[in-house]
Amino acid sequence: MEHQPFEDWLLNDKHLTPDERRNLNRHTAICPQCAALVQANLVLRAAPMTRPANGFALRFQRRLVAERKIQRRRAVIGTILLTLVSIGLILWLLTPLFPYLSLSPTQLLMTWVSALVYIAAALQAVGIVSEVIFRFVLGIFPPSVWLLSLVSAVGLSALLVAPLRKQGKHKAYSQARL
Amino acid sequence: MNEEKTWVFQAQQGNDEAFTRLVEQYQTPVYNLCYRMLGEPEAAEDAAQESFLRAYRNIGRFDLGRPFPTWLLSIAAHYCIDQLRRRKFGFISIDEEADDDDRPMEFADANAIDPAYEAERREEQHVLQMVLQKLGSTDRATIVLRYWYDFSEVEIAESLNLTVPAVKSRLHRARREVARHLAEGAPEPHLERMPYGTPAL
Repeated sequence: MEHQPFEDWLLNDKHLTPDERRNLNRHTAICPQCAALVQANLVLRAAPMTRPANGFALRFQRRLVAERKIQRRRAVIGTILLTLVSIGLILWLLTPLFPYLSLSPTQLLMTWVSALVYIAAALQAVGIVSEVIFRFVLGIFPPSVWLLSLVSAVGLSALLVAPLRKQGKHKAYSQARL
Repeated sequence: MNEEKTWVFQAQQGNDEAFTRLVEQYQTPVYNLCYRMLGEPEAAEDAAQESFLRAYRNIGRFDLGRPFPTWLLSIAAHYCIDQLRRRKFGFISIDEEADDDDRPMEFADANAIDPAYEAERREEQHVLQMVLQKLGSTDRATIVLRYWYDFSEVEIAESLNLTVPAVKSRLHRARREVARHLAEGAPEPHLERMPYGTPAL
């Protein structure tokens, strides 16, 4: 018999019949490669479990307590930082309103009314300009071309999103296992 | 087994005592995996502690329908592979690593009283440990999970996020490597475990 089946038996952990075992023994007597595989299997199977020094669980508990302390400290620091950043952001957003604090109520009302009028006029202007642009763009191609483009875009999006969703599900499964 | 599930369930509800029981139950398998992967007792202790810490953090996401040891050992194996990659790319300084002569303090099966026998056995284990260190990190993990924990190829694939053919290929390669290195001058092995037994779990 050739070398390969014996090596495959050893590498695949095949459960051998008595005849196969006898053949393997005969082969390993003349094949150093297979003899080394047998030896490696024996050494690996014979290796004992190493155990940690006494008090492992106690050391883990101490580590857990230390970890919790660190997490609590991080949470406190995070809350303080978030509060400071929020206060800073609010102050920054309120900065343009500070000058209004020195105005009289009538002046303040006039300022607000003029601001509202300005915003309304600006919105109206934007609406008119958008309408003109929209009509111009629609007029370039016939409606059938636009419809076809829309259908193509939806189809392409579906093709792109489907594999991403599949990948996302696989990733979520892997994370759940860990 | 039911007792273990109860501990896991209680740990998921935030019961630290239940998690400590799980630590006591699995400290040896997890430590052994880390030691076989990293090769140094101090690094193994640190990695085992960190693995339990990660398990503690993520136990809420553990599916009670799955075997807890597989999940736990998977966490430890991934952590050790990451550590070995960090070492490879120099993210862990040489000072942090222990000497090559570091040996584990105790073996779980310390029934030998003959000093010569014990010395020979320790030497044999030292040679094996050195041979393991010559394997790539993932190959090493497949060999350790296979021989010390009797994981099937499917379980190894699930634990290490590999395909079954990839596990087979890695196991074949790793066994050939171990055989080649041991053939360079290993002592005769002393069989102390059942050929297909699982002393750890």
